[in-house]
Amino acid sequence: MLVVDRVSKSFKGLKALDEISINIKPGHIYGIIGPNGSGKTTLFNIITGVLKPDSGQVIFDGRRIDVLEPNSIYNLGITRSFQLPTLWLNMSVAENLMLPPKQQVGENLRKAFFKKAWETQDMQLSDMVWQTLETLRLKQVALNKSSEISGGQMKLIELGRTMMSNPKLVLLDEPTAGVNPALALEIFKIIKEIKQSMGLTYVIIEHRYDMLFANADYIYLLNEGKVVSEGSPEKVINDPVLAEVYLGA
Amino acid sequence: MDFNQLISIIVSTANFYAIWLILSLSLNYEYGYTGILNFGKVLFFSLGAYSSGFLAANLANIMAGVSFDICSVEAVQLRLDLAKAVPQLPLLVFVASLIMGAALSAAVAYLLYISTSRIKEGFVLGIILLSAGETSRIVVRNYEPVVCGYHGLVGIPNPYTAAGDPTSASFLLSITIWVIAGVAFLFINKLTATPYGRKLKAIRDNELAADIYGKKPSHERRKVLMIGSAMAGVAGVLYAYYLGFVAADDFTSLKTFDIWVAVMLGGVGNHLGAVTGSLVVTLIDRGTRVLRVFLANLSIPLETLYLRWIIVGVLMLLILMYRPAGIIPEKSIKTLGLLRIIERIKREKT
Ligand SMILES: Nc1ncnc2c1ncn2[C@@H]1O[C@H](COP(=O)(O)OP(=O)(O)O)[C@@H](O)[C@H]1O
Ligand SMILES: [Mg+2]
Repeated sequence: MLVVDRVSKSFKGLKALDEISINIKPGHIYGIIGPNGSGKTTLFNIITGVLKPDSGQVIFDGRRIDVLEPNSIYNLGITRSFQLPTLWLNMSVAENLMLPPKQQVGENLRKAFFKKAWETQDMQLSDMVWQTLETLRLKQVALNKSSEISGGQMKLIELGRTMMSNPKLVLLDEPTAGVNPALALEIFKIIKEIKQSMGLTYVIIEHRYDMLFANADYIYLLNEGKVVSEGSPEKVINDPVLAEVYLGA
Repeated sequence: MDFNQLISIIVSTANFYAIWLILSLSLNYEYGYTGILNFGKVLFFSLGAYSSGFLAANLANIMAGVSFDICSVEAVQLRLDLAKAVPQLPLLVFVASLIMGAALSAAVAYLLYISTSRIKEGFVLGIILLSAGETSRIVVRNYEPVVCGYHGLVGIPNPYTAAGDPTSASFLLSITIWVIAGVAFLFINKLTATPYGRKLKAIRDNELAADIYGKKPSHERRKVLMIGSAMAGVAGVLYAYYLGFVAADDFTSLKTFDIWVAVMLGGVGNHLGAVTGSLVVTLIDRGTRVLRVFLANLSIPLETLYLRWIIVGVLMLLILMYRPAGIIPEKSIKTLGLLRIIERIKREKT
Protein backbone atom coordinates (compact mmCIF):
# COMPACT_ATOMS: atom_id res chain seq x y z
CA MET A 1 0.00 0.00 0.00
CA LEU A 2 2.78 2.40 0.92
CA VAL A 3 6.35 1.96 -0.17
CA VAL A 4 9.13 4.27 0.87
CA ASP A 5 11.97 3.45 -1.45
CA ARG A 6 15.54 4.48 -0.55
CA VAL A 7 14.57 7.95 0.57
CA SER A 8 17.25 10.36 1.78
CA LYS A 9 16.82 13.78 3.30
CA SER A 10 19.49 16.09 4.65
CA PHE A 11 19.26 19.33 6.54
CA LYS A 12 22.37 21.40 5.95
CA GLY A 13 24.64 18.39 5.85
CA LEU A 14 22.88 16.51 8.61
CA LYS A 15 21.48 13.27 7.22
CA ALA A 16 18.04 12.96 8.79
CA LEU A 17 17.05 10.09 6.50
CA ASP A 18 19.64 7.87 4.88
CA GLU A 19 18.35 5.68 2.03
CA ILE A 20 15.49 4.50 4.16
CA SER A 21 13.01 1.95 2.84
CA ILE A 22 9.83 0.74 4.45
CA ASN A 23 6.90 -1.24 3.19
CA ILE A 24 3.41 -0.87 4.65
CA LYS A 25 0.77 -3.46 3.83
CA PRO A 26 -2.94 -2.82 4.35
CA GLY A 27 -4.80 -3.80 7.48
CA HIS A 28 -1.96 -3.79 9.96
CA ILE A 29 -0.62 -1.62 12.72
CA TYR A 30 3.00 -0.65 12.25
CA GLY A 31 5.15 0.81 14.97
CA ILE A 32 8.11 3.10 14.44
CA ILE A 33 10.56 3.52 17.27
CA GLY A 34 13.98 5.01 17.65
CA PRO A 35 15.84 7.58 19.73
CA ASN A 36 15.15 11.31 19.46
CA GLY A 37 16.48 12.69 16.22
CA SER A 38 16.52 9.35 14.44
CA GLY A 39 14.32 10.69 11.65
CA LYS A 40 10.86 9.39 12.57
CA THR A 41 9.01 12.68 12.19
CA THR A 42 11.00 13.53 9.07
CA LEU A 43 9.79 10.27 7.56
CA PHE A 44 6.17 11.31 8.18
CA ASN A 45 6.91 14.73 6.73
CA ILE A 46 8.20 13.12 3.54
CA ILE A 47 5.26 10.74 3.23
CA THR A 48 2.70 13.52 3.68
CA GLY A 49 4.42 15.93 1.30
CA VAL A 50 5.49 18.49 3.90
CA LEU A 51 9.08 17.86 2.84
CA LYS A 52 10.44 16.73 -0.50
CA PRO A 53 13.03 13.94 -0.45
CA ASP A 54 16.52 14.63 -1.79
CA SER A 55 16.47 11.22 -3.47
CA GLY A 56 14.36 8.09 -3.54
CA GLN A 57 10.61 7.89 -3.94
CA VAL A 58 7.36 7.30 -2.11
CA ILE A 59 4.67 5.19 -3.69
CA PHE A 60 1.10 4.94 -2.42
CA ASP A 61 -1.35 2.52 -4.01
CA GLY A 62 0.89 2.25 -7.04
CA ARG A 63 1.22 6.00 -7.45
CA ARG A 64 4.25 8.18 -6.91
CA ILE A 65 3.31 10.74 -4.26
CA ASP A 66 6.58 12.40 -3.30
CA VAL A 67 5.98 14.94 -6.05
CA LEU A 68 2.52 15.89 -4.77
CA GLU A 69 1.40 18.62 -2.37
CA PRO A 70 0.12 17.67 1.09
CA ASN A 71 -3.49 18.43 0.17
CA SER A 72 -3.40 16.03 -2.80
CA ILE A 73 -1.80 13.31 -0.71
CA TYR A 74 -4.54 13.75 1.88
CA ASN A 75 -7.17 13.34 -0.78
CA LEU A 76 -5.59 10.07 -1.85
CA GLY A 77 -6.25 8.75 1.65
CA ILE A 78 -3.28 9.45 3.92
CA THR A 79 -3.91 11.38 7.11
CA ARG A 80 -1.56 12.17 9.96
CA SER A 81 -1.32 13.67 13.41
CA PHE A 82 1.46 15.91 14.64
CA GLN A 83 3.85 15.33 17.49
CA LEU A 84 3.41 18.95 18.57
CA PRO A 85 -0.28 19.82 18.35
CA THR A 86 -0.92 21.81 15.19
CA LEU A 87 -4.50 22.89 15.74
CA TRP A 88 -6.59 25.72 14.41
CA LEU A 89 -6.20 27.62 17.61
CA ASN A 90 -8.74 30.40 17.16
CA MET A 91 -11.47 27.90 16.51
CA SER A 92 -13.43 25.69 18.84
CA VAL A 93 -12.70 22.02 19.37
CA ALA A 94 -15.88 21.10 17.49
CA GLU A 95 -14.86 23.21 14.50
CA ASN A 96 -11.43 21.60 14.49
CA LEU A 97 -13.21 18.29 14.06
CA MET A 98 -15.63 19.57 11.43
CA LEU A 99 -12.83 20.57 9.09
CA PRO A 100 -11.13 17.30 8.05
CA PRO A 101 -13.92 15.51 6.15
CA LYS A 102 -13.26 15.53 2.43
CA GLN A 103 -15.53 16.78 -0.32
CA GLN A 104 -17.52 19.18 1.79
CA VAL A 105 -19.79 20.88 -0.70
CA GLY A 106 -20.09 23.98 1.47
CA GLU A 107 -16.35 24.56 1.35
CA ASN A 108 -16.59 25.34 -2.33
CA LEU A 109 -16.51 29.07 -3.04
CA ARG A 110 -19.42 29.03 -5.45
CA LYS A 111 -21.56 26.39 -3.80
CA ALA A 112 -21.22 28.05 -0.40
CA PHE A 113 -23.88 30.55 -1.48
CA PHE A 114 -26.47 27.82 -1.76
CA LYS A 115 -27.20 26.67 1.75
CA LYS A 116 -29.51 23.95 0.49
CA ALA A 117 -26.61 22.36 -1.35
CA TRP A 118 -24.57 21.76 1.79
CA GLU A 119 -26.69 21.97 4.89
CA THR A 120 -27.69 18.33 5.01
CA GLN A 121 -24.10 17.25 4.64
CA ASP A 122 -23.04 19.66 7.39
CA MET A 123 -25.68 18.16 9.70
CA GLN A 124 -24.56 14.61 9.01
CA LEU A 125 -21.03 15.66 9.65
CA SER A 126 -22.02 16.94 13.06
CA ASP A 127 -23.17 13.45 14.00
CA MET A 128 -19.71 12.15 13.20
CA VAL A 129 -18.15 14.95 15.21
CA TRP A 130 -20.40 14.10 18.13
CA GLN A 131 -19.30 10.49 18.03
CA THR A 132 -15.66 11.45 17.92
CA LEU A 133 -16.15 13.82 20.85
CA GLU A 134 -17.79 11.02 22.76
CA THR A 135 -15.07 8.50 21.97
CA LEU A 136 -12.31 10.90 22.96
CA ARG A 137 -14.20 12.27 25.97
CA LEU A 138 -13.96 15.78 24.69
CA LYS A 139 -17.63 16.74 24.93
CA GLN A 140 -17.10 18.98 27.91
CA VAL A 141 -14.62 21.14 25.96
CA ALA A 142 -16.29 20.88 22.54
CA LEU A 143 -17.14 24.56 22.42
CA ASN A 144 -13.94 25.83 23.98
CA LYS A 145 -11.37 27.50 21.84
CA SER A 146 -8.78 24.86 21.02
CA SER A 147 -6.08 27.15 22.43
CA GLU A 148 -7.77 27.01 25.82
CA ILE A 149 -7.59 23.31 26.57
CA SER A 150 -4.92 21.10 28.12
CA GLY A 151 -1.96 19.70 26.18
CA GLY A 152 -3.34 16.18 26.55
CA GLN A 153 -6.67 17.25 25.13
CA MET A 154 -4.86 18.89 22.24
CA LYS A 155 -3.22 15.56 21.44
CA LEU A 156 -6.64 13.97 21.50
CA ILE A 157 -7.89 16.45 18.92
CA GLU A 158 -4.88 15.54 16.80
CA LEU A 159 -6.12 11.98 16.94
CA GLY A 160 -9.73 13.08 16.48
CA ARG A 161 -8.92 14.89 13.28
CA THR A 162 -7.46 11.72 11.80
CA MET A 163 -10.64 9.90 12.84
CA MET A 164 -12.67 12.47 10.91
CA SER A 165 -10.58 12.06 7.76
CA ASN A 166 -12.03 8.86 6.34
CA PRO A 167 -8.55 7.72 5.35
CA LYS A 168 -6.95 4.50 4.21
CA LEU A 169 -3.68 5.06 5.99
CA VAL A 170 -3.21 6.86 9.29
CA LEU A 171 0.16 8.13 10.49
CA LEU A 172 0.27 8.99 14.19
CA ASP A 173 3.23 10.89 15.59
CA GLU A 174 3.50 10.07 19.30
CA PRO A 175 -0.26 10.01 19.92
CA THR A 176 0.05 9.43 23.66
CA ALA A 177 2.79 11.93 24.47
CA GLY A 178 1.58 14.16 27.30
CA VAL A 179 -1.52 12.04 27.85
CA ASN A 180 -2.02 10.27 31.18
CA PRO A 181 -1.35 6.51 31.17
CA ALA A 182 -5.00 5.49 31.58
CA LEU A 183 -6.01 7.58 28.59
CA ALA A 184 -2.99 6.37 26.66
CA LEU A 185 -4.24 2.81 27.08
CA GLU A 186 -7.65 3.98 26.02
CA ILE A 187 -6.15 5.58 22.90
CA PHE A 188 -4.60 2.31 21.84
CA LYS A 189 -7.89 0.58 22.46
CA ILE A 190 -9.63 3.12 20.24
CA ILE A 191 -7.02 2.72 17.52
CA LYS A 192 -7.50 -1.02 17.55
CA GLU A 193 -11.25 -0.67 17.42
CA ILE A 194 -11.17 1.72 14.48
CA LYS A 195 -8.67 -0.44 12.70
CA GLN A 196 -10.91 -3.44 13.10
CA SER A 197 -14.20 -1.78 12.26
CA MET A 198 -12.97 0.30 9.34
CA GLY A 199 -10.09 -1.81 8.10
CA LEU A 200 -7.61 1.02 8.34
CA THR A 201 -3.86 0.82 8.37
CA TYR A 202 -1.85 2.57 11.05
CA VAL A 203 1.75 3.64 11.32
CA ILE A 204 2.48 4.84 14.85
CA ILE A 205 5.54 6.57 16.19
CA GLU A 206 5.51 5.91 19.91
CA HIS A 207 7.72 6.09 22.95
CA ARG A 208 5.51 3.93 25.14
CA TYR A 209 6.97 0.69 23.91
CA ASP A 210 4.92 -1.50 26.19
CA MET A 211 1.69 -0.33 24.62
CA LEU A 212 3.08 -0.20 21.12
CA PHE A 213 4.54 -3.69 21.28
CA ALA A 214 1.29 -5.03 22.66
CA ASN A 215 -0.70 -3.62 19.77
CA ALA A 216 1.53 -3.43 16.72
CA ASP A 217 1.96 -6.20 14.17
CA TYR A 218 5.30 -5.00 12.88
CA ILE A 219 8.01 -2.69 14.18
CA TYR A 220 10.61 -0.57 12.48
CA LEU A 221 13.52 0.54 14.61
CA LEU A 222 15.23 3.66 13.30
CA ASN A 223 18.62 5.04 14.14
CA GLU A 224 20.39 7.91 12.40
CA GLY A 225 17.95 7.87 9.51
CA LYS A 226 18.26 4.17 8.80
CA VAL A 227 16.17 1.11 9.62
CA VAL A 228 18.43 -0.89 11.92
CA SER A 229 15.95 -3.57 12.89
CA GLU A 230 12.50 -4.64 11.78
CA GLY A 231 10.03 -7.45 12.28
CA SER A 232 7.49 -8.66 14.78
CA PRO A 233 7.53 -6.97 18.19
CA GLU A 234 9.08 -10.11 19.75
CA LYS A 235 11.84 -10.12 17.20
CA VAL A 236 12.74 -6.44 17.65
CA ILE A 237 12.55 -6.65 21.42
CA ASN A 238 15.06 -9.47 21.41
CA ASP A 239 17.33 -7.86 18.87
CA PRO A 240 20.61 -6.80 20.55
CA VAL A 241 20.63 -3.77 18.26
CA LEU A 242 17.77 -2.31 20.29
CA ALA A 243 19.87 -2.01 23.42
CA GLU A 244 22.83 -0.77 21.41
CA VAL A 245 20.82 2.01 19.84
CA TYR A 246 19.40 3.20 23.12
CA LEU A 247 22.50 2.85 25.19
CA GLY A 248 24.54 4.48 22.45
CA ALA A 249 26.94 1.56 22.52
CA MET B 1 -24.71 75.70 11.06
CA ASP B 2 -28.06 75.59 9.30
CA PHE B 3 -30.21 72.60 8.55
CA ASN B 4 -29.06 72.12 4.96
CA GLN B 5 -25.45 72.13 6.02
CA LEU B 6 -26.19 69.51 8.63
CA ILE B 7 -27.96 67.32 6.08
CA SER B 8 -25.07 67.60 3.68
CA ILE B 9 -22.58 66.67 6.39
CA ILE B 10 -24.65 63.63 7.31
CA VAL B 11 -25.03 62.54 3.69
CA SER B 12 -21.35 62.95 2.91
CA THR B 13 -20.39 61.10 6.09
CA ALA B 14 -22.72 58.29 5.11
CA ASN B 15 -21.14 58.17 1.67
CA PHE B 16 -17.62 58.00 3.04
CA TYR B 17 -18.74 55.44 5.57
CA ALA B 18 -20.23 53.22 2.88
CA ILE B 19 -17.00 53.37 0.88
CA TRP B 20 -14.83 52.64 3.94
CA LEU B 21 -17.15 49.85 4.84
CA ILE B 22 -16.63 48.07 1.52
CA LEU B 23 -12.87 48.42 1.98
CA SER B 24 -13.00 47.17 5.57
CA LEU B 25 -15.20 44.22 4.66
CA SER B 26 -12.78 43.27 1.93
CA LEU B 27 -9.77 43.51 4.24
CA ASN B 28 -11.56 41.53 6.89
CA TYR B 29 -12.26 38.83 4.31
CA GLU B 30 -8.60 38.82 3.32
CA TYR B 31 -6.91 39.27 6.67
CA GLY B 32 -9.56 38.50 9.28
CA TYR B 33 -10.65 35.29 7.62
CA THR B 34 -7.75 34.18 5.49
CA GLY B 35 -4.72 35.76 7.16
CA ILE B 36 -3.52 37.60 4.05
CA LEU B 37 -1.41 40.59 5.03
CA ASN B 38 -2.73 42.99 2.44
CA PHE B 39 -0.67 46.12 3.09
CA GLY B 40 -1.58 47.35 -0.36
CA LYS B 41 -5.33 47.79 -0.02
CA VAL B 42 -5.05 51.33 -1.38
CA LEU B 43 -3.58 50.03 -4.64
CA PHE B 44 -6.80 48.24 -5.56
CA PHE B 45 -8.90 51.13 -4.30
CA SER B 46 -6.91 53.47 -6.54
CA LEU B 47 -7.21 51.19 -9.57
CA GLY B 48 -10.98 51.52 -9.34
CA ALA B 49 -10.71 55.28 -9.12
CA TYR B 50 -8.25 55.50 -12.02
CA SER B 51 -10.48 53.27 -14.14
CA SER B 52 -13.33 55.70 -13.58
CA GLY B 53 -11.36 58.78 -14.50
CA PHE B 54 -9.65 57.15 -17.43
CA LEU B 55 -12.86 55.75 -18.90
CA ALA B 56 -14.94 58.89 -18.37
CA ALA B 57 -12.29 61.05 -20.05
CA ASN B 58 -11.38 58.83 -22.96
CA LEU B 59 -14.89 57.67 -23.79
CA ALA B 60 -16.00 61.29 -24.01
CA ASN B 61 -13.21 62.00 -26.49
CA ILE B 62 -14.09 58.94 -28.55
CA MET B 63 -17.83 59.71 -28.54
CA ALA B 64 -17.21 63.26 -29.70
CA GLY B 65 -14.61 62.11 -32.23
CA VAL B 66 -12.00 64.50 -30.89
CA SER B 67 -8.55 63.91 -29.50
CA PHE B 68 -8.29 66.54 -26.78
CA ASP B 69 -5.68 66.13 -24.12
CA ILE B 70 -7.86 64.56 -21.39
CA CYS B 71 -6.46 67.05 -18.89
CA SER B 72 -7.22 70.17 -20.91
CA VAL B 73 -9.98 72.62 -20.08
CA GLU B 74 -11.68 71.78 -23.39
CA ALA B 75 -11.79 68.09 -22.49
CA VAL B 76 -13.35 68.82 -19.10
CA GLN B 77 -15.94 71.05 -20.72
CA LEU B 78 -16.61 68.39 -23.34
CA ARG B 79 -17.26 65.73 -20.69
CA LEU B 80 -19.76 67.88 -18.88
CA ASP B 81 -21.46 69.08 -22.08
CA LEU B 82 -21.67 65.56 -23.42
CA ALA B 83 -23.24 64.38 -20.20
CA LYS B 84 -25.93 67.02 -20.59
CA ALA B 85 -26.48 66.26 -24.27
CA VAL B 86 -26.65 62.47 -23.80
CA PRO B 87 -27.79 62.13 -20.18
CA GLN B 88 -27.84 58.30 -20.22
CA LEU B 89 -24.17 58.18 -21.14
CA PRO B 90 -22.68 58.85 -17.68
CA LEU B 91 -24.68 55.99 -16.17
CA LEU B 92 -23.37 53.63 -18.81
CA VAL B 93 -19.82 54.78 -18.26
CA PHE B 94 -20.32 54.40 -14.51
CA VAL B 95 -21.40 50.80 -14.93
CA ALA B 96 -18.51 50.19 -17.29
CA SER B 97 -16.15 51.67 -14.70
CA LEU B 98 -17.50 49.38 -12.00
CA ILE B 99 -16.80 46.39 -14.20
CA MET B 100 -13.39 47.64 -15.27
CA GLY B 101 -12.40 48.69 -11.74
CA ALA B 102 -13.31 45.30 -10.32
CA ALA B 103 -11.73 43.33 -13.16
CA LEU B 104 -8.51 45.35 -13.27
CA SER B 105 -8.05 45.11 -9.50
CA ALA B 106 -8.66 41.38 -9.53
CA ALA B 107 -6.22 40.92 -12.42
CA VAL B 108 -3.48 42.95 -10.71
CA ALA B 109 -4.11 41.01 -7.48
CA TYR B 110 -3.69 37.79 -9.42
CA LEU B 111 -0.39 38.87 -10.94
CA LEU B 112 1.06 40.17 -7.69
CA TYR B 113 -0.04 37.05 -5.88
CA ILE B 114 1.47 34.58 -8.30
CA SER B 115 4.68 36.62 -8.38
CA THR B 116 5.25 35.68 -4.73
CA SER B 117 3.37 32.41 -4.44
CA ARG B 118 6.60 30.43 -4.24
CA ILE B 119 7.46 32.18 -1.02
CA LYS B 120 5.54 30.87 1.94
CA GLU B 121 6.11 33.83 4.24
CA GLY B 122 2.95 35.93 4.23
CA PHE B 123 4.70 39.18 5.01
CA VAL B 124 6.59 38.99 1.70
CA LEU B 125 3.32 39.30 -0.17
CA GLY B 126 2.36 42.08 2.23
CA ILE B 127 5.49 44.07 1.44
CA ILE B 128 5.10 43.47 -2.30
CA LEU B 129 1.54 44.79 -2.14
CA LEU B 130 2.64 47.77 -0.08
CA SER B 131 5.38 48.73 -2.49
CA ALA B 132 3.19 48.09 -5.52
CA GLY B 133 0.70 50.56 -4.07
CA GLU B 134 3.33 53.25 -3.51
CA THR B 135 5.02 52.64 -6.85
CA SER B 136 1.81 52.84 -8.82
CA ARG B 137 0.87 56.07 -7.05
CA ILE B 138 4.20 57.63 -7.95
CA VAL B 139 3.95 56.48 -11.56
CA VAL B 140 0.40 57.73 -11.97
CA ARG B 141 1.33 61.00 -10.30
CA ASN B 142 4.03 61.58 -12.89
CA TYR B 143 2.44 60.04 -15.96
CA GLU B 144 -0.35 62.32 -17.16
CA PRO B 145 -2.25 60.04 -19.59
CA VAL B 146 -3.79 58.00 -16.77
CA VAL B 147 -5.45 60.63 -14.61
CA CYS B 148 -3.55 63.87 -15.33
CA GLY B 149 -0.59 63.41 -13.03
CA TYR B 150 -0.45 65.41 -9.86
CA HIS B 151 -3.18 67.83 -10.96
CA GLY B 152 -5.67 65.01 -10.95
CA LEU B 153 -8.51 64.52 -13.37
CA VAL B 154 -11.63 66.63 -12.87
CA GLY B 155 -15.07 66.59 -14.43
CA ILE B 156 -16.25 63.04 -13.92
CA PRO B 157 -19.95 63.53 -14.55
CA ASN B 158 -22.58 62.30 -12.11
CA PRO B 159 -24.02 59.00 -13.41
CA TYR B 160 -27.55 60.27 -12.80
CA THR B 161 -27.24 63.39 -14.93
CA ALA B 162 -30.47 62.20 -16.54
CA ALA B 163 -32.29 63.00 -13.28
CA GLY B 164 -32.12 66.67 -14.25
CA ASP B 165 -31.21 68.75 -11.24
CA PRO B 166 -27.87 68.22 -9.47
CA THR B 167 -29.42 67.67 -6.04
CA SER B 168 -31.48 64.66 -7.12
CA ALA B 169 -28.56 63.35 -9.13
CA SER B 170 -26.21 63.44 -6.18
CA PHE B 171 -28.86 61.97 -3.93
CA LEU B 172 -29.36 59.09 -6.35
CA LEU B 173 -25.62 58.54 -6.42
CA SER B 174 -25.51 58.44 -2.61
CA ILE B 175 -28.27 55.86 -2.57
CA THR B 176 -26.36 53.82 -5.12
CA ILE B 177 -23.26 53.94 -2.93
CA TRP B 178 -25.23 52.81 0.11
CA VAL B 179 -26.95 50.05 -1.77
CA ILE B 180 -23.66 48.72 -3.12
CA ALA B 181 -22.16 48.77 0.39
CA GLY B 182 -25.23 46.92 1.68
CA VAL B 183 -24.93 44.35 -1.06
CA ALA B 184 -21.22 43.94 -0.27
CA PHE B 185 -22.11 43.27 3.36
CA LEU B 186 -24.76 40.70 2.48
CA PHE B 187 -22.53 39.08 -0.12
CA ILE B 188 -19.59 38.64 2.20
CA ASN B 189 -21.80 37.42 5.04
CA LYS B 190 -23.56 34.88 2.89
CA LEU B 191 -20.24 33.70 1.53
CA THR B 192 -18.44 33.23 4.83
CA ALA B 193 -21.14 32.02 7.23
CA THR B 194 -20.48 28.65 5.67
CA PRO B 195 -18.05 25.73 5.67
CA TYR B 196 -16.13 27.84 3.15
CA GLY B 197 -15.59 30.53 5.80
CA ARG B 198 -14.48 27.85 8.23
CA LYS B 199 -11.96 26.57 5.71
CA LEU B 200 -10.53 30.07 5.28
CA LYS B 201 -10.13 30.42 9.03
CA ALA B 202 -8.28 27.10 9.10
CA ILE B 203 -5.89 28.42 6.47
CA ARG B 204 -5.46 31.55 8.57
CA ASP B 205 -4.90 29.73 11.85
CA ASN B 206 -2.51 27.09 10.63
CA GLU B 207 -1.59 26.82 7.00
CA LEU B 208 0.36 23.58 7.40
CA ALA B 209 -2.52 21.81 9.13
CA ALA B 210 -4.95 23.13 6.51
CA ASP B 211 -2.75 21.78 3.74
CA ILE B 212 -2.35 18.41 5.49
CA TYR B 213 -6.14 18.19 5.82
CA GLY B 214 -6.76 18.71 2.15
CA LYS B 215 -7.45 22.43 1.90
CA LYS B 216 -5.47 24.29 -0.73
CA PRO B 217 -4.05 27.29 1.10
CA SER B 218 -2.28 29.01 -1.75
CA HIS B 219 -5.09 28.46 -4.21
CA GLU B 220 -7.72 29.74 -1.79
CA ARG B 221 -5.68 32.76 -0.76
CA ARG B 222 -5.26 33.75 -4.37
CA LYS B 223 -8.99 33.66 -4.96
CA VAL B 224 -9.70 35.57 -1.77
CA LEU B 225 -7.20 38.28 -2.68
CA MET B 226 -8.77 38.61 -6.12
CA ILE B 227 -12.31 38.91 -4.77
CA GLY B 228 -11.24 41.29 -1.99
CA SER B 229 -9.38 43.41 -4.50
CA ALA B 230 -12.34 43.52 -6.85
CA MET B 231 -14.38 44.83 -3.93
CA ALA B 232 -11.75 47.50 -3.25
CA GLY B 233 -11.83 48.39 -6.96
CA VAL B 234 -15.59 48.92 -6.76
CA ALA B 235 -15.09 51.13 -3.71
CA GLY B 236 -12.56 53.15 -5.72
CA VAL B 237 -15.06 53.70 -8.53
CA LEU B 238 -17.68 54.90 -6.06
CA TYR B 239 -15.13 57.21 -4.47
CA ALA B 240 -14.13 58.75 -7.80
CA TYR B 241 -17.72 59.28 -8.87
CA TYR B 242 -18.71 60.70 -5.53
CA LEU B 243 -15.91 63.27 -5.54
CA GLY B 244 -16.13 63.84 -9.30
CA PHE B 245 -12.39 63.82 -9.59
CA VAL B 246 -9.37 61.54 -9.17
CA ALA B 247 -5.86 62.38 -8.04
CA ALA B 248 -3.05 59.92 -7.43
CA ASP B 249 -1.97 61.68 -4.24
CA ASP B 250 -5.24 60.74 -2.64
CA PHE B 251 -4.04 57.15 -2.56
CA THR B 252 -1.15 57.08 -0.13
CA SER B 253 -0.57 54.14 2.18
CA LEU B 254 -2.20 56.12 4.96
CA LYS B 255 -5.51 54.99 3.42
CA THR B 256 -4.40 51.39 3.80
CA PHE B 257 -3.47 52.13 7.37
CA ASP B 258 -6.94 53.55 8.08
CA ILE B 259 -8.59 50.38 6.82
CA TRP B 260 -6.32 48.24 8.96
CA VAL B 261 -7.20 50.37 11.97
CA ALA B 262 -10.89 49.93 11.18
CA VAL B 263 -10.58 46.16 11.01
CA MET B 264 -8.40 45.85 14.12
CA LEU B 265 -10.60 48.19 16.14
CA GLY B 266 -13.79 46.46 15.11
CA GLY B 267 -12.46 42.95 15.60
CA VAL B 268 -10.97 40.63 13.00
CA GLY B 269 -12.76 37.62 11.61
CA ASN B 270 -16.26 39.00 11.95
CA HIS B 271 -18.08 41.33 9.64
CA LEU B 272 -19.91 43.28 12.34
CA GLY B 273 -16.45 44.20 13.56
CA ALA B 274 -15.67 45.72 10.17
CA VAL B 275 -19.02 47.52 10.24
CA THR B 276 -18.24 48.98 13.65
CA GLY B 277 -14.56 49.69 13.10
CA SER B 278 -15.09 51.52 9.85
CA LEU B 279 -17.86 53.57 11.46
CA VAL B 280 -15.48 54.65 14.23
CA VAL B 281 -12.75 55.55 11.76
CA THR B 282 -15.17 57.44 9.50
CA LEU B 283 -16.57 59.40 12.43
CA ILE B 284 -13.10 60.36 13.62
CA ASP B 285 -12.04 61.32 10.11
CA ARG B 286 -15.15 63.30 9.24
CA GLY B 287 -15.56 64.66 12.75
CA THR B 288 -12.12 66.20 12.89
CA ARG B 289 -12.67 67.78 9.48
CA VAL B 290 -15.93 69.36 10.52
CA LEU B 291 -14.34 70.45 13.77
CA ARG B 292 -11.57 72.10 11.82
CA VAL B 293 -13.99 74.29 9.85
CA PHE B 294 -15.90 75.04 13.00
CA LEU B 295 -12.76 76.07 14.92
CA ALA B 296 -11.49 78.12 11.99
CA ASN B 297 -14.76 80.05 12.02
CA LEU B 298 -14.16 80.82 15.68
CA SER B 299 -10.53 81.64 14.80
CA ILE B 300 -9.19 79.08 17.24
CA PRO B 301 -5.78 77.99 15.89
CA LEU B 302 -5.90 74.24 16.43
CA GLU B 303 -4.94 71.84 13.65
CA THR B 304 -7.46 69.05 14.04
CA LEU B 305 -6.00 66.96 11.23
CA TYR B 306 -3.21 66.01 13.59
CA LEU B 307 -5.72 65.49 16.33
CA ARG B 308 -7.22 62.80 14.09
CA TRP B 309 -4.03 60.74 14.13
CA ILE B 310 -3.66 61.19 17.84
CA ILE B 311 -7.19 59.95 18.46
CA VAL B 312 -6.70 56.99 16.15
CA GLY B 313 -3.38 56.12 17.81
CA VAL B 314 -4.74 56.33 21.34
CA LEU B 315 -7.82 54.30 20.42
CA MET B 316 -5.64 51.65 18.83
CA LEU B 317 -3.50 51.45 21.98
CA LEU B 318 -6.51 51.21 24.25
CA ILE B 319 -8.04 48.47 22.16
CA LEU B 320 -4.81 46.49 22.01
CA MET B 321 -4.39 46.78 25.76
CA TYR B 322 -7.92 46.16 26.95
CA ARG B 323 -9.73 44.43 24.13
CA PRO B 324 -7.20 42.76 21.85
CA ALA B 325 -9.92 40.89 19.99
CA GLY B 326 -11.51 44.23 19.00
CA ILE B 327 -14.79 45.89 19.88
CA ILE B 328 -16.72 42.86 18.63
CA PRO B 329 -14.67 39.68 19.12
CA GLU B 330 -14.76 36.84 16.63
CA LYS B 331 -17.36 34.12 17.01
CA SER B 332 -17.66 30.59 15.72
CA ILE B 333 -19.27 30.15 12.33
CA LYS B 334 -22.55 28.63 13.31
CA THR B 335 -23.47 26.37 10.47
CA LEU B 336 -26.41 24.07 11.05
CA GLY B 337 -24.02 21.26 11.96
CA LEU B 338 -22.31 23.28 14.67
CA LEU B 339 -25.63 24.57 15.99
CA ARG B 340 -26.71 20.99 16.39
CA ILE B 341 -23.63 20.17 18.44
CA ILE B 342 -24.24 23.23 20.61
CA GLU B 343 -27.82 22.12 21.20
CA ARG B 344 -26.81 18.60 22.16
CA ILE B 345 -24.31 19.92 24.65
CA LYS B 346 -26.92 22.18 26.21
CA ARG B 347 -29.29 19.26 26.44
CA GLU B 348 -26.72 17.07 28.17
CA LYS B 349 -25.95 19.77 30.70
CA THR B 350 -29.55 20.03 31.85
N1 LIG C 1 12.91 21.14 9.27
C1 LIG C 1 14.13 20.77 9.75
N2 LIG C 1 15.19 21.58 9.60
C2 LIG C 1 16.40 21.22 10.07
N3 LIG C 1 16.65 20.08 10.72
C3 LIG C 1 15.62 19.24 10.92
C4 LIG C 1 14.30 19.55 10.46
N4 LIG C 1 13.48 18.52 10.79
C5 LIG C 1 14.25 17.62 11.45
N5 LIG C 1 15.54 18.04 11.52
C6 LIG C 1 16.63 17.29 12.11
O1 LIG C 1 16.59 15.99 11.56
C7 LIG C 1 16.86 15.03 12.56
C8 LIG C 1 15.71 14.07 12.66
O2 LIG C 1 14.61 14.75 13.26
P1 LIG C 1 13.19 14.09 13.50
O3 LIG C 1 12.77 13.44 12.25
O4 LIG C 1 12.30 15.14 14.05
O5 LIG C 1 13.52 13.02 14.61
P2 LIG C 1 12.57 12.18 15.54
O6 LIG C 1 11.14 12.47 15.17
O7 LIG C 1 12.96 10.78 15.30
O8 LIG C 1 12.87 12.60 16.94
C9 LIG C 1 17.13 15.79 13.84
O9 LIG C 1 18.52 15.92 14.01
C10 LIG C 1 16.49 17.12 13.61
O10 LIG C 1 17.15 18.13 14.31
MG1 LIG D 1 9.62 13.28 16.25
